[in-house]
Amino acid sequence: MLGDVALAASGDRRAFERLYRAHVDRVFSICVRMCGSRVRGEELTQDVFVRVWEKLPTFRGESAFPTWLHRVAVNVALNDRKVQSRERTRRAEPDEDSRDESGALGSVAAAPVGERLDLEAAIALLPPGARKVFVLHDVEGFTHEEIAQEMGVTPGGTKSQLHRARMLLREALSR
Amino acid sequence: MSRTYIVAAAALIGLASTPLAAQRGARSGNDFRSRIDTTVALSSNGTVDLSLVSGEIIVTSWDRNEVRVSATSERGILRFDTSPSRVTLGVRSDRGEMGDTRYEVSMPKSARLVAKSVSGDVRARGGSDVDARSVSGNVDVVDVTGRATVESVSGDVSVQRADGGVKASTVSGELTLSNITGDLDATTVSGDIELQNVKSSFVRTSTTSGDVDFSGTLDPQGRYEFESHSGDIELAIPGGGATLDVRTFSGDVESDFPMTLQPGSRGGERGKAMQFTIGGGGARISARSFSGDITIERSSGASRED
Amino acid sequence: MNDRMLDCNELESLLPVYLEGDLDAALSRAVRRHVEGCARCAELLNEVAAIVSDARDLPPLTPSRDLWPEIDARIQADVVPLAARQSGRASVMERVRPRWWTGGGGGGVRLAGAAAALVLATAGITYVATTRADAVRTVAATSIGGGSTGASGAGGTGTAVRNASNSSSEQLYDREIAQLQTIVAERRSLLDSTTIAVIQRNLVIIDSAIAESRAALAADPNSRFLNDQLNSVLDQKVELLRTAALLPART
Repeated sequence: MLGDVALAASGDRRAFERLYRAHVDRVFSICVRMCGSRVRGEELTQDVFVRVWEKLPTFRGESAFPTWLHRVAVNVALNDRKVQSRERTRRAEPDEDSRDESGALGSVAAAPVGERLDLEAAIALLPPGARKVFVLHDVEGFTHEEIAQEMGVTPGGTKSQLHRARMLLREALSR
Repeated sequence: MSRTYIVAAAALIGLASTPLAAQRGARSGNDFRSRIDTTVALSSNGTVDLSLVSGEIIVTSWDRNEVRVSATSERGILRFDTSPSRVTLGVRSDRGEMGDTRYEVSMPKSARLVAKSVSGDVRARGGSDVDARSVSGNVDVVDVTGRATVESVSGDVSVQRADGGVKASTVSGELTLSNITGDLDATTVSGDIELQNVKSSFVRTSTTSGDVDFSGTLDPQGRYEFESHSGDIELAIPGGGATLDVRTFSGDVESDFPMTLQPGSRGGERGKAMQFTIGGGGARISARSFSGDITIERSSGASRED
Repeated sequence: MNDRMLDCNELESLLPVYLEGDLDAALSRAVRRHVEGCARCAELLNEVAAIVSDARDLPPLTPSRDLWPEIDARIQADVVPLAARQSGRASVMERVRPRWWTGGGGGGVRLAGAAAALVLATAGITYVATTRADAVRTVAATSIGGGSTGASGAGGTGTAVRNASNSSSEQLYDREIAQLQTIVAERRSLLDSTTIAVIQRNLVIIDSAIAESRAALAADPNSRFLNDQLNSVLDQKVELLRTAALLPART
């Protein structure tokens, strides 16, 4: 695969396609879970790979390619400003600001009673700030310092968002 | 040391100042680089001009000839200029990123509004003339007594109740206009267009791959143009009176009304071209697509909701 | 020894720190002691720990369809400079970063660095947008004598030149499109990547609509309707590029 990275960086689209096929599921998973929507996740996944194609010539192998690729995916997903209209109507107040401690318990609590949610579905219902931190920390394994730096907030902020996410998930999953 | 989670009251899509907003105002000002909380006078037909880069703009209106501004910015510096006829609010960066900015403004019902955001939603209720734009945020405007202009690139745009016409565009978002009186111009590239309860003499819609849905009353002197490349066009029109010009290259055409071809219809050309009248003619309707399907339905003549 | 007793509220607020492993020994002991004697908090701890563990083990998701064709189309849709039409534009061009030009695989039109500068120095650079859809359909159009010259093979390089078309109005469109693309290329670094992506994606949608219209028109050149239809989509392209050129910068 090292060979494919070098080939793709010099413009070989076949090699880039091989890289795509090897990594698309992981990138897609990050995008879907961070934004809470499969449709938007597919769009973001495309954006990630287009961005990777453009930035490949600058990748100098300081880290492993998959690590670098996932960073790009996280970055694209974090900067996704398009609030889904479905999400918008479901929540009283958009809280993209991860310092927003309050805000709608909203959609998770509003999930229909009696319907057993699985973890994947419950994650999608979390408010955006909490969801992103949860996905990055508990699903993808980034540290609070790394997450805080990416999101431009303090690790204290990410820790409280994480706790909030876990508590909301617990409530949603124990119905 | 235990933490309480504050549950926000379920407010409608944010057009009124919510209790949450009041809480934010009550929180320590240390969280924000700059903030403004003030009320100034503005003549009833004055202009309110709001712009920010990242963050939300929420505007409501009232009967007072005053503008109340509650603005905060994480790292930007707010700039606020007032005169009896104009209030301007903007933000600039000190060094580096501005972070999130938020404006909550109440203005006189009959004021003119200009509200622009780059990333972040713009929501407004009221105004005699509203120009609301964003690049990646959604734009939602309600209750304009005059003309509304709304624009976004990737966000959704919507206008409900405008009496002086609407010009709306978005590239990939959804475009929804309902209960509109006056001229209508709606454009998207891939977003769907939905026009409901329209009472207009001039409607023009254009899209490349989005679907178009129209329902409204027709002015016998009016002109209604619907254009798409691959998106479907669905028109619900009352049986009053209209002359239709329907053309598509490879789409299907269906109509609740009998399509008696007029002399001069080009039947031999590739694709479908039909010109026909309903109820003795009147309003001129043209629906054209390349590959999108075109459907003409008979509506029950929905009257405009008041 | 200080035997700290915790109540349930205290435990809940200590929980995140405990799960991170950041509590000191005494507090950790206190947490465990409380949990041993309190069914409610034991349940809380177990459920949250289960969520954390399940999250780590979530299997990867798969997109509903193959996204490669669209990605491939987008990475080939970069503007590629060939020859400048107006000499006045040459200096503007020099400021566009070479990175924006490379791409498009084995095709003959990949320029980088010094080569690009050399081309720029000569008068007469035209921007031509190349898309894969155009390449395939342009071949179809030329074989029917539709008027585009210089189209290369459909599959291989994926580049096609659409400059000489029959109607002069098309040339006007092409010129305006080219000028706008210059401006958009220059401003690209001022806009956020998501917006750029949306514009690129929609340019591809319009370009394939243009290609479809051209192909249909080539088969039926006298159709007034198809002519109008083509002009319509070209208008949409101009409008979109104009929108992109006028977008406010992100800072």
